[in-house]
Amino acid sequence: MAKYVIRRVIQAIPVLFGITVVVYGILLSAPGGPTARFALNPRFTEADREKFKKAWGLDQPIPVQYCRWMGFCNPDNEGLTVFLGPTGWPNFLPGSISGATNGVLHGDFGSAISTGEYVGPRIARAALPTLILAGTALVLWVTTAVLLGTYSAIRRYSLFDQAATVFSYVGYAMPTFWLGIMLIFIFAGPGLNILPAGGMTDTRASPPFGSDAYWTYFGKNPLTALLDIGRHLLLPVFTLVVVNIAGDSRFVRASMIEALNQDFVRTARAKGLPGRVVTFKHAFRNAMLPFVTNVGLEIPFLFTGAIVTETIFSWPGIGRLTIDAIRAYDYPVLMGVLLVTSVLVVLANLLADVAYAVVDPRIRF
Amino acid sequence: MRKGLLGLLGSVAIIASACGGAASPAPSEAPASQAPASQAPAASPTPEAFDPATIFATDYTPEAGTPGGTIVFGDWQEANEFNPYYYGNVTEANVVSAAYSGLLVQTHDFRLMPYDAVEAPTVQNGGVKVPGDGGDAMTVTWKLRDGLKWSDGQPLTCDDYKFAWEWVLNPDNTGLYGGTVGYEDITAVDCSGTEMVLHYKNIYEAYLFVPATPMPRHYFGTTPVADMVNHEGYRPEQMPNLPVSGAFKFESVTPTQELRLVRNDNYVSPGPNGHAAYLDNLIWKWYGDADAGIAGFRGGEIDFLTDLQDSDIPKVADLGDQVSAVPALLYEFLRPNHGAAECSRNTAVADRGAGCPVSDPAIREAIKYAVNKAEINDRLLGGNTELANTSISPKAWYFAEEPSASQDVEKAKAILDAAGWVVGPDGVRQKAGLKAKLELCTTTRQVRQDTLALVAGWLHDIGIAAVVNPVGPPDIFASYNESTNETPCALSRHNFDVAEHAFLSSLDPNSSYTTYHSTQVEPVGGNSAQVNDPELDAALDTVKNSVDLAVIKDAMETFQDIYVANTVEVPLYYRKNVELHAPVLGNFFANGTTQGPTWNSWDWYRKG
Repeated sequence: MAKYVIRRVIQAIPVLFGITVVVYGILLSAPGGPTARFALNPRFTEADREKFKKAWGLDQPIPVQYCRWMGFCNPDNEGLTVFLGPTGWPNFLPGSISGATNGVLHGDFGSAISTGEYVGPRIARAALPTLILAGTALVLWVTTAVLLGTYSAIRRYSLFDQAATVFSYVGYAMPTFWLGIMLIFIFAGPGLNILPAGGMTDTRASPPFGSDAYWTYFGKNPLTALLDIGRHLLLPVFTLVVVNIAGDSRFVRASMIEALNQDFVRTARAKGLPGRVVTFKHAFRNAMLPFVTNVGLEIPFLFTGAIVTETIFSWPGIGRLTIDAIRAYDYPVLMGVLLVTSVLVVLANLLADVAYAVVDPRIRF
Repeated sequence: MRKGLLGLLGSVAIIASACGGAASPAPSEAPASQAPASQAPAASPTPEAFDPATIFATDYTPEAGTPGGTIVFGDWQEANEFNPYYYGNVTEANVVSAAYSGLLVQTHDFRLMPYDAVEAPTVQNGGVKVPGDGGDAMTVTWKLRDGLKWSDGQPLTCDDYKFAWEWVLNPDNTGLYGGTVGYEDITAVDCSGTEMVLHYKNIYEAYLFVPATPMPRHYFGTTPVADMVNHEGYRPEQMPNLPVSGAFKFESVTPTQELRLVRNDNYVSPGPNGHAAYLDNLIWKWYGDADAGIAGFRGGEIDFLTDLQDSDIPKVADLGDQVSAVPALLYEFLRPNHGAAECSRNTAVADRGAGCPVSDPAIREAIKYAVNKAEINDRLLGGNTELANTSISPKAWYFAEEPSASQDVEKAKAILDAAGWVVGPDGVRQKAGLKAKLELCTTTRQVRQDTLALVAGWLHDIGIAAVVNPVGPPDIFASYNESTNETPCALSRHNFDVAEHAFLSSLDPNSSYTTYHSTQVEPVGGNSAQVNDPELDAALDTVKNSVDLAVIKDAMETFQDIYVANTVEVPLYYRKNVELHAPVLGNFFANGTTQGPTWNSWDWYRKG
C-alpha cells in the first residue's frame, strides 16, 4: 500500500505540472486581461496600457510569465541567467540554496492584481467559509442520500420509493441558481424575511468573519456567533443539499438493489439471518463500496466551493473568490485557485482509491 | 473636487458601457466669468451673455443632524481600489467620495461647491489669469481653508496638492484612470501659506478639477511610485493606517465581505458651520448580485443599496420614495462608423460588395429616422428612461435643446431614394454595386441584443439589411494593441458598421474632443467611429483652447447642432442612477454626478 501511495504521488507531479501549463496558457491567451477595465477610456493611452502591463509583468511572453510564476525563472535576471537564483544556483531549487523567493515552488503565489493582496493568504482566508458551507452540505447530503437511497431500495416500488424518485428527478433537474434565488424570495427580505439574504454574518452585530475582531467577538459570544452563522448557513446549505441528494440517492438505491440481488445475500437469508442483519451487515456494506469512491471524488468540492451558490448567497468562500477573479481578470488569484483545486482533485482521487482498498479487503495494490 | 472627476468621466463611461452599471458623472460647470478674449486659434461667433455665477448657486440646505449611528451600504460590485487616482468603478467612487476631499465638490443639483478651497478661482474674482503671470499661458490661484488636517492629525496643506501633481506625473506611474490630462499642462505649483498657485503652459479649460485630491506627502513621500502601482500603501491590511482627508477613514477592509469606515475626527466639513461627520460608521456589504442586494435591503440588512440600473426599477417600484432614480450622465446610443475605408470585416456582410455603406451620410440619417426610440423605451425598459437627442446631458450647463427625431419611415425612405440607394430585387437597397447590408455590433447584454433586434427590423422596413452580432466586452472594447483587424466588432479597429453601447455624457465639454475630433482616431485617441467633420473639429478646437465660459457654451451649442444635423450618432436614451435608501437616512440628497450619493456624507445622520 505504501509503495502504491508513493507511486501515485510521484505520478501526480507531472500531471499537476501539465495542468498548470495548459491552464496558464489558456488563461493568458484568452481575450481581455487586467487592462480590460481601461478599455475605451480615451484618457488611457496605449503607452499607459503598456506601462501598466510592464508594471505587473504582463508584457513578457506567456512562457516567461509562467516560468516566473512557477519559480523556475528569476524575474530580476535576463538572458540565460534567468534560470539562476541570486546565489547562482538554479532558481527552482529551495530558497535556502538558490536564494530565490519567487514562484509557486517557493511558496509565493504572487499578488492579486486587483487588490495587491498576497494570493496565498487570500485563498487561505476564503477556504474556511467554503469548508463550513460545503462541509456542512456534504455531511448532510451524504447522510440523507444514504438513508433515502437505502430505504428506497429496501422498499422499492413502494409509495415512498416512487415519491423519492420524483423528488430525485426534480431535484436533479433543478438549476442551483434558480433554487437559490427562489429560496431568497421566499424566506429572505422579499418574502417571509425570517432568514438573511446573503453574507456569512450579521453586518450590524458582528465584525466580518475571519478578522481578528471577529475571533475576539466569537470568544466573548460563542453561542450568538454560532447561531448567526447558522442562520446564514441555512439557505445555501439547503440549496446544495437538495440538488446533490437527488443524484447520490439514486446512486445508493441502484447500488443497494444490486447488492440485495447478489447470491451471498440470498445465502444469508437462506441461513435464517434476520432481515436487518442481511440488509445492513451484508448488503449495505457491499453496496457502499462504489459510493465511497463517489464521495471521495466529491471531496475536492469542499475546497473549490459551490461557485454559483456562493455568488447567489454572497458567501465569502473560494467559489466567490474565483468568480471575482474571473471578472477582474486577476490571473494570479485564478492560477492560485486552480492550482489548489488541481492538487485537491489529485489527492482526493488517491484518497478514494486508498479508501476503497481499506473498505474492500479484496482490493490489494 | 473629487477624484479627477473629469479624468474619470471617460473611464466611468467605459465601465458603464461594459458592465451596464449606471455611473453618475459630475457636472463640470466650470466657473470663470466674463473672461478676456479666449486664445482660441479659430475665430468664434460672438457668444451669448452667460453668467458663470449660476454654476455655484447650489440649493443644498441640509438639516441639523444628530451624532451617532451607522449606515450600512450594499453593492453587488466590490470596491478593491482605494487610491483616488486609480479607482475605476462606481462603488469605488462612492467609497472614495466619503474618504477623500478635493478642492471642490459637485452637488446634487449639478453645481460646484468649495470643499478644501475657500472659493473657486475664476477670471472674475482674479483667481484665473489668461494670459498668466511670468509667461504662463494661464495662472490659477487657489486659496485653501485654514486648519485642514489629515485623519492622522497631520496638517493638510498646499504641499499635499503639489505632491499629488508630482505623483501623477511621475514617469513610473501608470494605471491612472483619468490619465495625466491637465496635470501635464501645469509647469509648476507654488505654495505660500494657504495659497496655491498653478502655472499652466497651455490654457486648460477644466482647471477646476486639477489636482483632483491631495495626497499625503508625509505618508507617501518616500514610497516608490512603482510600488504604489502594485497597491503598496493601499492593500487591505494597510488601509487602517492610511491618512485620508474626507469625512470618514478606513477602519477595516475584508475582501469579499465588507468594508468599514469610521468617522474621521480630524475632519471639518466645508461651509460656515463646519463639523465632523455625524455618523460613527459607514459600512459597505458586498452582495453577489443586484437581486441579492435588493433582497437584503428589503430584509433590513442594509440601509442603502447603490449601483442599480433602470431595468431594476420595476423590481422595486413598490418601495415608493425609498427608490431614488435620478438621471445619470450616461447615454445609450447607436454609433455609426463614418469611415469609408475601414468598416465591418464580418463575412456575414461580405456579400454586400466592397465599400462601407454607413460612410454615406444618407444611410446614417435614414437610420436616425428608422429607429423608434419611444418603442425601445416602452417595450424593453418599462418606460423608465429619458429619450436622448444629443450626446450631451440636459443637466450640462452648455446643453442645447435640439429637435428630437421620432420615427418617420417615409422620410427615411425618401432620404435613401434621393441619395441614389435603389431597392434591389431582394428588397435590399444598393448603390454603385454596394448593398446596404450592415453589421450591428453590441455586447451580450440581453437588453442590447433586443434593442438591435428591433433596430434590424426597422432597417429592414426601409430596405437596409442588418446582421446583429453580440460579442463579449473583451472583443468589442478591446484596445488597439490588444486587438487585431479580425477581432469581432472591435471598435478600436473600426471593425463594425453600427455599434450599440453606452457612453458617458460628460459634463466636461473638452471630453468630447478625443471622441469626435478627426485627429483622434485610434491609436491616437478614442474616435472609433472615424468621425471626420471639419466644422465639428473647429467647434471642438474652440472649446479646447478657451476658458471663457460664454465662448465654450456657444461652441458646444454649435457642436450639438452639427452632431444632430449630420447624424454623428443616434442617441437612444439617458440612463438613470437607481438607488434604494431607507427612511432612517437623514440628509440624503441623490447625486447624479460622478460624485455619487456619498458626496455629502459628512451631513448624513441616522434618524430615530
